[in-house]
Amino acid sequence: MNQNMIVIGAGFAGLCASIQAAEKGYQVALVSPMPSERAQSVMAAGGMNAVLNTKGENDTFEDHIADTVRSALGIASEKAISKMVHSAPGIVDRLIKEGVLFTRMADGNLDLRRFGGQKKARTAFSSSGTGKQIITGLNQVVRKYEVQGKIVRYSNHTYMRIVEDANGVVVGCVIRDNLEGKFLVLNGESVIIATGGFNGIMGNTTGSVNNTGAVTANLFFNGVEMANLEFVQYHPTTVYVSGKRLLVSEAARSEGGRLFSIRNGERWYFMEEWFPGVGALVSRDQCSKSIYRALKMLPEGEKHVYLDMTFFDEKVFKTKLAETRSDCLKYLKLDPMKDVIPVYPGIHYFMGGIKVDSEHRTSKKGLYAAGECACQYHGANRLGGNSVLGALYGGLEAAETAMQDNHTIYSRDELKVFNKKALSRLDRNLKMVVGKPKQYSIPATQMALQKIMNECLGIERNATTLLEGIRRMDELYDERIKDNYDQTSSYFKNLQVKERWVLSKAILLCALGRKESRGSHMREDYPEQNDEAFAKMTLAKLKDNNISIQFVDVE
Amino acid sequence: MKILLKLRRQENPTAKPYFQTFAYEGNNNISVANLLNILNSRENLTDVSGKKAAKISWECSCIEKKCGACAMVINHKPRLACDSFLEDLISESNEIIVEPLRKFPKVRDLRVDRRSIFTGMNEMKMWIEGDAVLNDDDYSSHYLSSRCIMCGCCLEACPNFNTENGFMGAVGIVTASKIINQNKEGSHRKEVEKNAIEHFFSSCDQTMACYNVCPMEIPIDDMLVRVSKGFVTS
Ligand SMILES: Cc1cc2nc3c(=O)[nH]c(=O)nc-3n(C[C@H](O)[C@H](O)[C@H](O)COP(=O)(O)OP(=O)(O)OC[C@H]3O[C@@H](n4cnc5c(N)ncnc54)[C@H](O)[C@@H]3O)c2cc1C
Ligand code: FES
Repeated sequence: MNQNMIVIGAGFAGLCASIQAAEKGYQVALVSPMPSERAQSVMAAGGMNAVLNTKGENDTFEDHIADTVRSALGIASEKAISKMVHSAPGIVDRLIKEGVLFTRMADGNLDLRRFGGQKKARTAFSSSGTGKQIITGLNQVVRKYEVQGKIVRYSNHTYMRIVEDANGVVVGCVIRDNLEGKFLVLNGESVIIATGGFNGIMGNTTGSVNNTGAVTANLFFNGVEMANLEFVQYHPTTVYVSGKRLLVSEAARSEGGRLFSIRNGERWYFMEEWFPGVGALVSRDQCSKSIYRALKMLPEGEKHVYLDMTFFDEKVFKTKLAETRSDCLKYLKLDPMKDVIPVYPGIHYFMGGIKVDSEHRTSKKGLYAAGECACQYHGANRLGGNSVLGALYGGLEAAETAMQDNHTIYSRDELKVFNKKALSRLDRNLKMVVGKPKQYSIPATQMALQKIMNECLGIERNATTLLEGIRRMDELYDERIKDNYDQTSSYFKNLQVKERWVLSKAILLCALGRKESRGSHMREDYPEQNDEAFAKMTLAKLKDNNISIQFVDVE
Repeated sequence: MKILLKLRRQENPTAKPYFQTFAYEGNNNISVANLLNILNSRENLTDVSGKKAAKISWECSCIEKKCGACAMVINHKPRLACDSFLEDLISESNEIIVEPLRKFPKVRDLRVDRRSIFTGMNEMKMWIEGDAVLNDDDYSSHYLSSRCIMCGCCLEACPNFNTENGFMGAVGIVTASKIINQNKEGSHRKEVEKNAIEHFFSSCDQTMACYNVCPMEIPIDDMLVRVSKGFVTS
């Protein structure tokens, strides 16, 4: 009998998991609302980390591990990081064999960038469009397995809920065919979640609006544990344009881009003043915090920070920053070859998410998670270039674990019973929202929710604003979510609002509970790092309608 | 200035299409994608005549010209909504006409079913057997080939394409140009070449309409020449 795996999400993590399983003879169902070409992974710009040591800097695995651990500030598993770091060169090699192009130096070796917070140049890249190049390569491999019938893609399908056996072990999931509007049940011994960060909870991020956070929210609502939800990365150099935040890749600073503001009529290179020798190439949390601090010190009306790349060689723009320049020209109408770019920190990455062990098992048996949706490898702050690696490696590792774990094999008839139960639950939940008296618009409610989250979960937080945020959340629930049904939105969007609301509230509670400052979590009222109480993972859980927050030891 | 967005709508694949117009007043330095989001997040969406309207169904993901989700026909030209700015579109008239891609089966409003692009890629066997052959001289052409976002704008513009005839247009040949080159000499490469002829060369009459609409500005003409040159030498 075929062994079956279900993979939800078709970015780096989902594609790698599918390939790994298909290679081992598994039958894979790969689910995503849109094809992989539309996954956030295609937006990755600057590159991926691997100890390739092509720059004569004597880079070692120990260095890569040390940089990652240092930046994670004690709340990521060293065991997991070490395995990832050791696998990285092999992954790059595999990608090259699949035809992925990396930028090379004149001697033919791969060129490497030095990203913030790293002591050595270690980031392999394809100009400033690394993500798309890698996705194209992985898609080619998946295509071959599709034709062989080993991977079946369910593009145009959205995850709805998990299917569990009588003991709460995951044995499949319900998905929705978005073209036909029908539900479909898939069964497999394992389900791998690879649905990316919860951008939709915050809105206004540098990433894809398609990563709504709906899957994470649904799993949390169904008792799956979450970790470190309060750790949200603000990327130092983003620009607000036409309804979203545009990323100016870290590649710009890696090439020597300088940050400054204007003080007393003169350029003030505050990063170079505060971090002599390193300048803007500190880790992202430090850089974002510094921009925030510098702006606080400047008078009203002069609170601007600029990124200067005008002194770069023209060739650098051609070979290493092609996409970055064209984004600036298109969306900012500024040419980084001639103009300085006004920047401000913006939400870019979620270090927290679904809690997984160092082998990517979630708190629910049969359920695994990898990529940005999972909380692994990055701790309090993610290094540039480590998340492409974390997603690729995480996908491979999650699939490997899922294939090695023991699973109960059920007969078709047994599965039918579980499937029926999951469908009827879904149906019951849907029926419960339909026809409720209030008619507030769902997108408008979502925006109100995002507004609260943004205002309370800024670069700097404190108890007053967080408590106020929680109060506003409760108010929002009573006013717009409870007893509401928006006929102009689909019924499952109506259903999801409450789940998102619960996850959002949990994030605020995590931030409130961590009474210290660590990495991207900066508390105005607790400016110091408190290792005694908080060198731990924040664990969030929903039980009997109550959100519980605990601090537990890191694996 | 008040801008009117004239939208071609359709409730489901078989329903009758109709136009509905929405009014917007505000910053013109925004994209059509942003405008669609603004309209959809209004507490009550109404058209110019004040009639209550359903939310507009459309696809987007990156909103920065990197994923191809938001391809549609804007002022009679296939383009990406996130790459089309109001201020550029209203130079002649303050009315912007937005329609779904017409060559693909309709789903709802601006959403169409582009599955044929992806099944076509499978039919053309667009993958590499064994290790990829990498060659410095081809780097830039292969890089550009991999930038194709499979949005469908090229097929929309192409007079030879429909979803039934198996013709894969520019998206097919742009992908093939890299895949053929990166495959070692041998049976798979031959098969991909054969597929390139069957799904492209046998029907392309070189109007090059695709060239003018590709949002990624891929040099389709160059790639075409590369592939046909390969045929001559092999
Ligand atoms: C602009 C930008 C630049 C970046 N640059 C870099 C970089 O240079 N280096 C680096 O290391 N990292 C970078 N990152 C981060 C990195 O790209 C991401 O963390 C990584 O790609 C995440 O991959 P993933 O596989 O976890 O998820 P994603 O690629 O986000 O994929 C998520 C998948 O889940 C699917 N999905 C979503 N919701 C559902 C649902 N309800 N049902 C089913 N499927 C669903 C989506 O369709 C998609 O297929 C960048 C991020 C951004 C936004
Ligand atoms: S939304 Fe990605 S290209 Fe427009």
